[in-house]
Amino acid sequence: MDRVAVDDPRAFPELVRRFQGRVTNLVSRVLNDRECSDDLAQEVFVRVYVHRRNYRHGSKFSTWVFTIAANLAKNEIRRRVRKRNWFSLDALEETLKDRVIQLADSTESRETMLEREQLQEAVGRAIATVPEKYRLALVLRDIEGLPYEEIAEVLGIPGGTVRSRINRARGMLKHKLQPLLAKAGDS
Amino acid sequence: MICNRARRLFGACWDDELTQAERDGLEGHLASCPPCRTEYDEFARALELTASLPRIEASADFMDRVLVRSRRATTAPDFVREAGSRWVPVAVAAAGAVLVVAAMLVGSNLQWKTPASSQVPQIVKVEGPREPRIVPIPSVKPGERRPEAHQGSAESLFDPDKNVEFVLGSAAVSGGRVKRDPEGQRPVITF
Repeated sequence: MDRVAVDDPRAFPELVRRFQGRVTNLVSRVLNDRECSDDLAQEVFVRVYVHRRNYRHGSKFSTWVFTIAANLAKNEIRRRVRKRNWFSLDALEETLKDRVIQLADSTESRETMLEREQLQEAVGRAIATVPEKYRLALVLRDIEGLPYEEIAEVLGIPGGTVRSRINRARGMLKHKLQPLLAKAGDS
Repeated sequence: MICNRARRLFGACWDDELTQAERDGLEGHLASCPPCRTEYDEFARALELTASLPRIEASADFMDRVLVRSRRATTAPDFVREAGSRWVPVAVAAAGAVLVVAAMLVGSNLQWKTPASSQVPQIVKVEGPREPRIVPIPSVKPGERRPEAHQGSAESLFDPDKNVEFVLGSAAVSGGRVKRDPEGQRPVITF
């Protein structure tokens, strides 16, 4: 980041290369819209570049970039809520379908693959229906694997609040997935 | 351990943040309480599924688009911007309206202090160490000469060559000047 701040021409592309996957995944999981997520993830890096000299060396770069991503995602969710244009579940399903097909084990039977696909789609939909403030904490913790302290920094809230939000989000998620989990448990 | 306490520890257990004593207590409870065991299994399965979701990768042209957008965001626009924002006239109009209302309020405030005979208040010097006070003097019609008693004199409290400012209630009036008049008895400051 120091090299980016002094306009080293190779530094910024390297930074984008390292973090583009995590930022895109975070924004996609929170927004549940593949097309918009790509655009928003790009905007995150544009802001990193524009404000590169404002980066505080006391905090980790990942914290800073996730903070920008979380704020942009929050703004986007609120903008959509205002427009009453809820999330495109079709877009998520398409994305999940693509990725699942790519990542699925080629030796898996078609039936198993379909089951896995459906399960992942359902989990994606369930996450997308968790309220925004809980969802962000959940995605940062259980998908991105950030420690609680870093999530607190990213969201600008106390550590205790982060824990309580994640606990509530996990409870909501479990509740939404309950029929699926019970079915899986029976089989 | 009771069920409620055990269920509150599910999250910490998943995050591997339990003390050994808490872990022993929870495992003991789960071994003896089938509903809590089922609850924990579902909880853990939901989080496993969440964590194992496939990662959504950036598009192939992500880097190129970021670099183009970053460059565009930090360089001057290559087009002539339309004159001003449409909010500027609104802001100016709002400021103007506030000024008009303020002026009307100040005017009405002064009128309240003016006696019914429509006299105009003026600041005059009085004898002794007292501060200047506002006293009413009769108003004059355009073209009429003001009575001598109310014309300015050389005995001014202020430097007659400099602008002075008085605060009358909530309204500030600036630009007043003391006229030098050798025949006058009392100094009158006019604006």
